[in-house]
Amino acid sequence: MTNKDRIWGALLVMLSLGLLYKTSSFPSLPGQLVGAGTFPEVIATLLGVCGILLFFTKDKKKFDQQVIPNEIQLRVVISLVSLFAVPLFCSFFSSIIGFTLSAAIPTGVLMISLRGGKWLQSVFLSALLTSIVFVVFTKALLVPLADGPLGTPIGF
Amino acid sequence: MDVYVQAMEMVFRLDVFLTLLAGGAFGLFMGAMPGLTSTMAMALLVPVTFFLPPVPALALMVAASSMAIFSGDLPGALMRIPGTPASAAYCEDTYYLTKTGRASIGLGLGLGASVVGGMAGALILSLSAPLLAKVALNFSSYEYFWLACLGLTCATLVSQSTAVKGLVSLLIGLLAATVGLDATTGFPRFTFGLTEMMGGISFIPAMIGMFAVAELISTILRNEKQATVPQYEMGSLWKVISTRMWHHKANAVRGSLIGTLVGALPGAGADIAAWVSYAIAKKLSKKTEEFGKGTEEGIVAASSSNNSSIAGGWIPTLVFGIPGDSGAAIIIGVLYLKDLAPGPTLFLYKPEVLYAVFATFFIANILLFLMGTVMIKLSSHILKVPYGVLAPCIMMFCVVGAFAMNNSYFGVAVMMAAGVLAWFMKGNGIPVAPAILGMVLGNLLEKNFLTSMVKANGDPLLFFSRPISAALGIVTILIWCLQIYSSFKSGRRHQQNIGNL
Repeated sequence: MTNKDRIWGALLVMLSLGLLYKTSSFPSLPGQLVGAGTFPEVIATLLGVCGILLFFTKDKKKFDQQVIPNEIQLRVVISLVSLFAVPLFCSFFSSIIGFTLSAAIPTGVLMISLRGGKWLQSVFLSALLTSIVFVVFTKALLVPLADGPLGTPIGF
Repeated sequence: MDVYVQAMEMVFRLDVFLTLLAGGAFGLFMGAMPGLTSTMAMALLVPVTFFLPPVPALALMVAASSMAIFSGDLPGALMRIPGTPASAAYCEDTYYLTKTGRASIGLGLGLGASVVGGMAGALILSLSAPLLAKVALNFSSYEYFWLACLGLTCATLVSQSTAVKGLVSLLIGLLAATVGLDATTGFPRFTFGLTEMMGGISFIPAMIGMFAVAELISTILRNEKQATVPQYEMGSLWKVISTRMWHHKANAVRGSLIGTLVGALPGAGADIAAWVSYAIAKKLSKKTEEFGKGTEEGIVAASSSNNSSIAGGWIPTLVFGIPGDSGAAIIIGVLYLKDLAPGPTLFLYKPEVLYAVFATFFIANILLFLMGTVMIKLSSHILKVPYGVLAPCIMMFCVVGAFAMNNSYFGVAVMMAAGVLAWFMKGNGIPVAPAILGMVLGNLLEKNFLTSMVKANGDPLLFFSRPISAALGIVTILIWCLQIYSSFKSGRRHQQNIGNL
């Protein structure tokens, strides 16, 4: 077994115990032994068993390990942060500054970091891309993305 | 007869044709980009289907999946990087042909075989699904319970990991499906007081996250340099397809049949279908030494197989509501979005829609032939699109798609959480596909489990009281027992090996 498997196993056992505790308060169907908690209890029990098996048995199959390099370059960190910033900016700032700006800023940063420079091209591409997505989704598909102070780009 | 006429009226419309073209072009592009899979292409198109009528929405999915699977051959042949996992089986062969100046043979045969496979799969789907639906109409909760168990068991076993890890993934999916108001008692489960969670975790944003976001994180962390396309000679594709395909007709037919069958098996998708067909073609070939060195037999068998598996995956999806693979799980999501609950009753109440969808399979494969030819000619240019431009585009589509599900950023949060979870799972050898199937099948399994429990009133033998349920139950339990036995056996062998050392 690997340490990762042990950690997963321990986490699953804890999750299983938590679930069993939580589901014990779920109501049953009137006059029946089964109810809202039955199915989650079965899942929790099986998760617990799997956790124990993972903890004690060895995984002999090879799999593609997610490679996290020992020396993570600054570029990778910025890319990863800006990748997560796209949904975060859209969720928290689009109602204030609009979807176009809140998506274009992190997308631009992501593009610059992934392409290792090419600032002007990346800024132009991210602005163009965000504007196209905004226009297509708001005008053609009627998704209510926030306008913000910029309004709809290019007079659409 | 009226049903067929109605179906044809639904298909031969400009909007359906345009969605087939658009879905096809998107699928071809996504499949050709290494790391972007057919399932990801389908997941990213789901938000677009919100705004389309049922037939164009499903046509979009059919076209995207069919074309993405073929398109995965292109980077395999030109750069030795399979575009999708389904092309991995014969990547060495197509690349060998390109290296030796015969790129047109590898790609032409791949295209021809994909079209044959797609057509054969569509034919089998059209003929078998209505017949199976008639049988499935007599199913009770016992049969559905065992069928769901059997499907999920197969999904766990065929995943490229250990059975335990496959089961863990499945249980995570099933657990996610229990979130929200319980259908039987109306009791809120695991909602943490959040009103957004009352309706449950929508599996479409979760699927977008698991397939797209997880892959983006992995690719960024790998920080690899983008491969370049070498110079290659491209001969006449038409000549290859018209002359050599006939020579390999037996391989194409066999590959198509195997692909459809494997595709219909829950959990086994196009990649497994391609590997199985390739292995069988090698076993039956008189030129086994050519396998891995540009074998035409292997390319035809595996190419026809991976494309036919798409239609195969639709058979259990439409008839029983049990997805054949993760792509079919997305189809179930689209069917529900379009108020077409999958199952045998769909064939009773909306047969015209289903026949229209079957027809789109045939049209999509005709289009594949035309668009695939153009794509092969353009491939060297398309493969130059930098990942630095592509990744931000994908991320933005994911965000807008997850938002469009309920016009709420809660979907975006679900997508991101699912993406991170899937990345962790993959990093620990836990496959993602069983979790998706668990999320999709969770409600069906729980509903039939509880109904059967109430009907059985504590008597477990009633789960085996009907002939089909007994057969399904026995097969399922036998598979479980065999798996446990083989795990014990391999564990003991491992202990012995350690002892010998």
